[in-house]
Amino acid sequence: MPPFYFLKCTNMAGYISTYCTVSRHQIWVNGKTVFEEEGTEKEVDEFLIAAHRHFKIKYPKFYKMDVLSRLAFIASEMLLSTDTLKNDSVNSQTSIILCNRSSTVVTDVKHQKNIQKEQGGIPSPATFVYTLPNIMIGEMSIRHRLTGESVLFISETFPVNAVVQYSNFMIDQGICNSCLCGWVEVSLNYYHAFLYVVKSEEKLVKRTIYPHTSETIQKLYLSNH
Amino acid sequence: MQPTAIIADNIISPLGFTTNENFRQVMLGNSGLRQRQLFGEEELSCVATIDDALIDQKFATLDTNGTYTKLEKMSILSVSTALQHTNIGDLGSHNTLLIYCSTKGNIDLLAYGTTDDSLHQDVYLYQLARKVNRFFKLKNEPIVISNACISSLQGILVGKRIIDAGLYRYVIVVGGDVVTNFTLSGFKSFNAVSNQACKPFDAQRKGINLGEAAATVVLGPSNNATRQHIAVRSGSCTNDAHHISAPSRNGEGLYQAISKTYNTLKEGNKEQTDFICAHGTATRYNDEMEAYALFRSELSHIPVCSLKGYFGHTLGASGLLESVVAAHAMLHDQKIISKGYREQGTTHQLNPIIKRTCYPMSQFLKTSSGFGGCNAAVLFSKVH
Repeated sequence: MPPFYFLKCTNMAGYISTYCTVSRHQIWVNGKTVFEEEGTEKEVDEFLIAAHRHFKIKYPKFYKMDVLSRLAFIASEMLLSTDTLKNDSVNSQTSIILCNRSSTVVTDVKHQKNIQKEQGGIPSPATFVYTLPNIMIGEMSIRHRLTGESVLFISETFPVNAVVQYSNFMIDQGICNSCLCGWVEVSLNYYHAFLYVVKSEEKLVKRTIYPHTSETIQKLYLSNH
Repeated sequence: MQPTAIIADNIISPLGFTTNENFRQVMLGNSGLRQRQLFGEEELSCVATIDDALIDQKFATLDTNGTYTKLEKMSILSVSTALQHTNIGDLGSHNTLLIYCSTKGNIDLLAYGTTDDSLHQDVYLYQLARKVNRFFKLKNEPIVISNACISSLQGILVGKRIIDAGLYRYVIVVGGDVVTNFTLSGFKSFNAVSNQACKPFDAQRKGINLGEAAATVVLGPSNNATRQHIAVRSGSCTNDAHHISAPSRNGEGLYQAISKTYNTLKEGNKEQTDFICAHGTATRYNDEMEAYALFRSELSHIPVCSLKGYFGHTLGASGLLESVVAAHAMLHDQKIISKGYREQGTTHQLNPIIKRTCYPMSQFLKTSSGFGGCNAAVLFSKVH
């Protein structure tokens, strides 16, 4: 893996408290399978709707979301509903760093078809709004009332060093004491989500799973890939 | 510790190809907005677009033999012009990072194909960023931020933090977006577009005008003095956690971003703020929310302007472009008229600048907000 940064700063500010992967119609949380769908010929949307039903999430807005926001939603639901993040003073202290490669290409194509007159489509605000990749952050924020900092990076591959360094920096500087980080990618024939929560030492409520370093994150990201 | 500063900058817009030319046009009260017939539509759109032929002409003066899209040419021209005003040694050293900020990049390329086989590689934002990166022979993989309309203001904040963390010595932040059928039709579907020149904060405002631009700041240590520098003092961003396409009614997210921006500084700086360069898109919702957030922040009396009446809404470029214009206004001790404003149009009264005045200034606040509920605020000041 090529180094992304000339590493001058090697402070390790955080600890990974929980992580999840959604890929190939399966969901793993902290390394264990929690859901899988038989029949991988199903579309990713069908799989996500099945997961939504299986976990009895009961969030009607889910059905308005596009596939990228749905994937981000399900992945974050695995982490945040089991984690102690439903407190207003805590929620302003939680940052979000999400990344992907294709931005919102699936919904972009949908909107593009709506504007090509020969295709007879009509542009719709409900589709257009999802042509911004940060909307999935907005959806998570609304669901879990997360009012802290958030950023979205576009990168060909998951920029592990950048994410680890930036989240550690924010925790170290007191900009946040917890960060939801990861990779949520949906392209025309592929999807993969890897999300984790990193917390400052003071904020851990249970024993740490892993220290927050590039090596650890790369390992967790690649397991179940 | 010396503050991280803007040591060079550039704007490529319908108002010119240098920061000085853009600033001069704004001071003259000229706007880049025009009525144009676009994308095979019969009705005219009010937009601020740059003539393709002019871009090609300017770009031809650079040493190049590749194929570049309009946005890539604008971006490369912008960075190239900005770098002429620095004395940064070897750009290819490990000390420089590029941050590219855009909402949709080369999305107009979707018109050529939307299937897996036919999708143009340059539709991917990281490809666009890499082409700019490669042009300047930068060695490090660029960072790409795509966070709706706060993208490039956030880019400045992220760049500053990266320098403060000691990870890089210089960060080149570029913001760019072009006017496309994709985005224009999308905003029209929201009934968010005005077919007349936009009127930020005004009682008669009817919506946005789209604009296109590429703008650059080079961030670095402020002792690199070839001219008066602009310090990036502090900043913050937040999420409303309210709605994906409408701002929170009480401006909570923006209010928090502004609060955190001032609170991270040792001395309370609010009263020393000489003016605010707001987001002011001229939609009913945004301007109302911004006025409320500024009221809650006890900044209503501070002179405020929106630059959307000069450049239109340049989406991913807006935060950075407008910060550069405002910074030069501060350097020249000149207040910029909030073009398009006549009469109070928000529940909470603001103090929009309606007259050009010369006034010694040392600090201004820039705000941005965007779809997805994101908000950003950054404080800039003269380096003493």
